[in-house]
Amino acid sequence: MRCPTLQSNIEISSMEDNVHSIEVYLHPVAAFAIIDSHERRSKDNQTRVIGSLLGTKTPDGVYEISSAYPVPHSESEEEVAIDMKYEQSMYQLYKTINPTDVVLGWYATNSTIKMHSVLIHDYYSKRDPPPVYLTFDCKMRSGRLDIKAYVRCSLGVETKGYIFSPIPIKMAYYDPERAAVNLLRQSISTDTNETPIKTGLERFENVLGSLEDSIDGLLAYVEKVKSGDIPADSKIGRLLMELVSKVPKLDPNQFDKIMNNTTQDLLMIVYLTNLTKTQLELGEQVAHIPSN
Amino acid sequence: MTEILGPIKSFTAFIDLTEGAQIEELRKLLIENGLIEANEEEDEEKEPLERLISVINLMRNVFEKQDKTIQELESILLSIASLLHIVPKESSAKLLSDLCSTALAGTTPSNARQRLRLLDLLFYQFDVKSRMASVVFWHKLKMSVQYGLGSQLVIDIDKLKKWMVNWSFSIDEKQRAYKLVWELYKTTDKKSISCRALTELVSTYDSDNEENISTLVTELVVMAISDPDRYIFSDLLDIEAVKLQYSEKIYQLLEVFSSGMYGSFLKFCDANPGYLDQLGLEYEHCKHKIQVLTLLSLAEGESEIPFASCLTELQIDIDSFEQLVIDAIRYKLLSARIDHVNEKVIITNCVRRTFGLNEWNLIHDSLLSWKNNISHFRSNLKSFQLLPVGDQKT
Repeated sequence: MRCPTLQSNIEISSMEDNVHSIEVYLHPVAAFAIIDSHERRSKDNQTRVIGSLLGTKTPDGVYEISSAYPVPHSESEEEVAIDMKYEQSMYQLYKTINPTDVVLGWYATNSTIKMHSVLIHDYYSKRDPPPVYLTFDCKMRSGRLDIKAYVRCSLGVETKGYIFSPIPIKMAYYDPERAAVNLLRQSISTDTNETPIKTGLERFENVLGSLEDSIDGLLAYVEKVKSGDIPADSKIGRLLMELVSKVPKLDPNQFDKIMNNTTQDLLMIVYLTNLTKTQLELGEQVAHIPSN
Repeated sequence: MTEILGPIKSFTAFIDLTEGAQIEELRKLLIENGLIEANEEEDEEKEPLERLISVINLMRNVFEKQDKTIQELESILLSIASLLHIVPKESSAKLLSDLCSTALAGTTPSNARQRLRLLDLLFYQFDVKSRMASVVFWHKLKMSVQYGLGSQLVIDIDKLKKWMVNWSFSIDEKQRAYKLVWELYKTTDKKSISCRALTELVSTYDSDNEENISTLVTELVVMAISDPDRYIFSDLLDIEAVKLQYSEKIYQLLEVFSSGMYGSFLKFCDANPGYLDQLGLEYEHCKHKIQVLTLLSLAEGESEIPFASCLTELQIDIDSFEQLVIDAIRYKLLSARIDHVNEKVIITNCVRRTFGLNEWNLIHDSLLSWKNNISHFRSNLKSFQLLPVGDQKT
């Protein structure tokens, strides 16, 4: 029996394989690994670093890049060589800790696409899924770190050529990554480029402070709307309404009571962890004392 | 191999041919298909640009023939696109437009999706802010409407708005674009995008400069009311073009849905018998919607509402009322509990039908009390003293 929908099913599956429907999500950990590899290059003869991108791919063409490692390579005007053996053993090692991850493509830490890119892309094209090519403009020519993603398409009638077609790329964060990136951002404004990692209560206090600042910002906006300085946008209003409706309506005393109770618990946890830490350190010190 | 850098930064192609040879290969394909005579001498005299133009136009016949696979067509199209950099800037948009028409030559309903993909491929080659991208975008939009590809082409109205600013579209071009988007999604399951496009379209008219504006407004109101996910109508009343229709029946109907109660809906129906049918609106659907909206009005600003007052206002029995409350909660318009023993509904939160100064004041008060709670707590927190335990060296 012939199924009338079969034809369209086949078409859909071939569309999924299509490289143009690929969307790339990049995690900051991978981005940092790539920038780090660029910073550690040998500065005499290397202008760029290349490496493999690892992560997962969904059936509908979403590439999520969660990690990356550099691959040694050498290139001159005439030729390019990459250490395939190193690349493969790195991948095998990586695979043992993250069995679900695959190589999704490769990166280069410069922004210009050269003839050599085609050859390196050839190497990565031997695997499944179709590789993506990420360029990191580590020289920051445009004033910022430009990250672009490409897939390769072929062109030409008899003599075949290639073109790297840009595809959308977005940053993706897990919650801990977001927190880490936010912390790192704070170091930009300091003189030493350092940010201390705040401990429990200090951090709590900081978060509360930034929450209060945000509310202040909102209040200023609402006041301007009320006084007529800003035209009232009911769309924003509705969103704000939704936001404030999510905050439980408590009178200050009640609020204090609840918060104080939980803070007591929090303090106890902080106290106990510090105590444990001290105990462990003490134990270590004692172990180092020669026994006579 | 030579590296070709196109007029647009992102366009980088690698092929082991000079531009002239690349055009020659394309011409060879045309000769094989019997579209041009292999008259070398004459061709040598022609400028590469001239030859490229004739290639673009004649290639149309190859695309019409349907004997090439989609990959082959893709390669041909990209090959031509990578040559566009030899075209002087002022005529490049025109040639790109011709190239799009070529790519669409021989489109049938069965291969329309593939052809749309070809255009997509072209679209991505250009910086989305450039005028070149807008050329491809027009073709994409037009052909999607023609072949009903609303389910294939996803258009984000907010993005489109930004693009149109970049492309410095005139009002007329914007209106045409919105009209096409509206048409594209009208019959698909993405009606809300269609409605959004129509809203934007109507918003572009400011005075009585358009004769058919009343038809558009009517269409918009009908579309909004029949959208099963839409319960807020007050924003439509803010649109200038809608305000101009204040003497019309459609405006009254919109007013009923934006702030009126069930009673006023019934009155409107009595005063205008057959009007809903004439608009193509289902009476039962409208009735249910206005009942949900009436419930919202009753709940506004209250912490609890007794069954009795709701039942009289909504003119329904207790079972249907319960169903109505459940529906309102399901649509995320209301968060409430039904208290059967005391015969009342306890409201924790409800969506406002209209949004005015009153609502802004309410937000202000809530924000202020929230802020006070937090700052009070912060000052309390500071008074807690941590006992110095652990390694404090760092």
